Amino acid sequence: MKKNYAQLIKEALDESLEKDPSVFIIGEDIGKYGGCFGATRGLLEKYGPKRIIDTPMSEQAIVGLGIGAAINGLKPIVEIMFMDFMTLAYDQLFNHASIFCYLTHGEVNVPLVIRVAAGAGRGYGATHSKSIIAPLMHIPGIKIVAPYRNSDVKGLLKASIEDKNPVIFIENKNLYAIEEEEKGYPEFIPLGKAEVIRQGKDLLIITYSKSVKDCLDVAEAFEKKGISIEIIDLRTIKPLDMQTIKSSVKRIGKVLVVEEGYSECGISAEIIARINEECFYSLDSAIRRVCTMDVPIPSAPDLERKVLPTAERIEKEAWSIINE
Amino acid sequence: MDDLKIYEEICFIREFENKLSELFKRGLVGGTAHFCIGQEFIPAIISQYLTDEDFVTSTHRGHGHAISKRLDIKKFLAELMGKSAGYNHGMGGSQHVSSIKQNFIANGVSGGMIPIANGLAFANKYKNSNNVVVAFLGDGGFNEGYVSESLNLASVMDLPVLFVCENNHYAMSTPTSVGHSSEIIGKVKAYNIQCELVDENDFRKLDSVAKEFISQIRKKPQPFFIEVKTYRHCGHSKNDQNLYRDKEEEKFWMEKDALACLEKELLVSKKITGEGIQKIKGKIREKLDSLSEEIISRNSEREDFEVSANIYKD
Ligand SMILES: Cc1ncc(C[n+]2csc(CCOP(=O)(O)OP(=O)(O)O)c2C)c(N)n1
Ligand SMILES: [Mg+2]
Repeated sequence: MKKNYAQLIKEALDESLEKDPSVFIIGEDIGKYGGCFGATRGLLEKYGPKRIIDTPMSEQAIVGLGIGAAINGLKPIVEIMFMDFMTLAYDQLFNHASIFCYLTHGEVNVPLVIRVAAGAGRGYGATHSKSIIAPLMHIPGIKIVAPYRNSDVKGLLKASIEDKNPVIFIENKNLYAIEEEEKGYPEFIPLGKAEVIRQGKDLLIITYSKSVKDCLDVAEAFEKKGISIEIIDLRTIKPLDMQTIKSSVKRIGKVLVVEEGYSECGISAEIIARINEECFYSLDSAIRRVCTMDVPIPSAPDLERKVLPTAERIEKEAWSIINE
Repeated sequence: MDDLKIYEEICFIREFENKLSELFKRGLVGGTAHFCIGQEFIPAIISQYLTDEDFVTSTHRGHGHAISKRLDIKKFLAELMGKSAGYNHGMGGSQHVSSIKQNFIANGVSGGMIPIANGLAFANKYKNSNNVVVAFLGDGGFNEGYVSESLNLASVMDLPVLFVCENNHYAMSTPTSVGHSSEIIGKVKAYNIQCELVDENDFRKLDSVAKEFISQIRKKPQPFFIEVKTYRHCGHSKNDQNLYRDKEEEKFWMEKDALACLEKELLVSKKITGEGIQKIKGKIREKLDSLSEEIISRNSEREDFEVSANIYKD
């Protein structure tokens, strides 16, 4: 049967709600409306208002409620409508959710999932398009998951819900409608494991979320010219799976990092630093990156394309590394 | 309320703060601390109506909250002294003492625990438990945006939580007259939360209000709010000289000190003698002296303490 990414998210939520009575979902317009992108549609009817809870617009209070409920034995799934609004809840993540386990030597756990829609490409403009994951990666004690493939999204969401730590689960808006034949999808995928989703020997591209698609397209085009590109889909951004990264870097020696986050102090910056620290002598050339340009994201489609890490920009950087 | 018991509790918290101040001067406690001298009666009275299962969330000025929540004094003091025998192995310190076994969590972001207190209360309601969450905050913390969000949320979701605002008239140096556009209690009323103002350290009124509100929460999940107008005798934190406060105002409030007033009542009603008072205070001091000396004398070398452990729960 064909299913899209959003349906697979809903299935993971549904099965988790079914299996564990301590799971509940809370957020803005997730009930009757079904969430901005429809991922919770129908769950209110099935599980009722005790477990599918619409709230006023109060990102800090909702995330804080999730943290408290998690500490007190429940498994909250908080939905934040747009990743741009995560900023409103940063204090609860930086100064609360992330410190309790450490300071209490593992006594206080915060098994919280925050689902959030990220990504540009739809003309929503500067405040509804960002993929600001890097600031969250900066917080010790948080996990970050950002699946690309339909075959990963359900298993990773279920694993996130079962995890005993605060997990930010990032869904790129452009992925929701991607539909594929569902066959043999894993029911549960452990967090912290990247995957080589395309093998190659001339260039390694490390990427995640929707950018995986653009990188795959570029790799196809290069293949026709006799150049083979390997692609790592990080899947979990924090903790980073350096093992998988290193083993490909050592084999290939040329690396490009691609992401939809901003460039300065971005996830790609972190990955490049870690590769330098851990396997510098395997490199044949300088590592490059393609990110969203460091500007607020414009709304008009032609301008938006100019600032995003499009296939054209990826291709250009890939060429320059290969020709180096 | 059991007057004598409350009196002893207030005495204990005050002596604890005095002891801590002495340990600071001797260089045996580091970092900072915010003493609650003058405000001890608030947690002492409220905790009478709490069980071990009830949660308390606390603030930077939380020593009284912790003691009243029955945290083990030795482990608590050891935490403040940065020792591995402390509740959090010395990693929390004065503003972050937390113990899930005691259902007690503190945090140094003013008002930052208020959204979390809602969540603790939400879980109690979800589990059909009639346990209560008491969330302390200051008049300064009240002004943070997340507190407004949380009061609204507690109200629309009928969360079983008691907010206790210790209004000591200052947020560091900023008086409430400057920092607040209107009375706190009026703002709370606007959120449709049942609330009561306790003025001038009126511990009798606090006792009856706390008793009533907590029993109502247990009967039917809903939020309540108590604002207690009080005063800190000490500076904001250990080095503050209170240069921004009016001497007349200080005098007014010193005369309203709950400990002194209750002591006078007990003496007048002959429930206690001057000698009895000395005995109580002497016993407390002795206990605190011996606990602190015991902590000091222990070898505090930490062997193989893994500072990167427990960032995640496996
Ligand atoms: C969010 C935040 N901003 C600033 C501070 C620094 N700070 C610590 S206590 C304090 C004043 C708090 O006033 P109040 O809430 O009235 O509590 P009180 O100290 O009077 O007990 C300030 C500004 C803080 N801890 N948290
Ligand atoms: Mg104050």
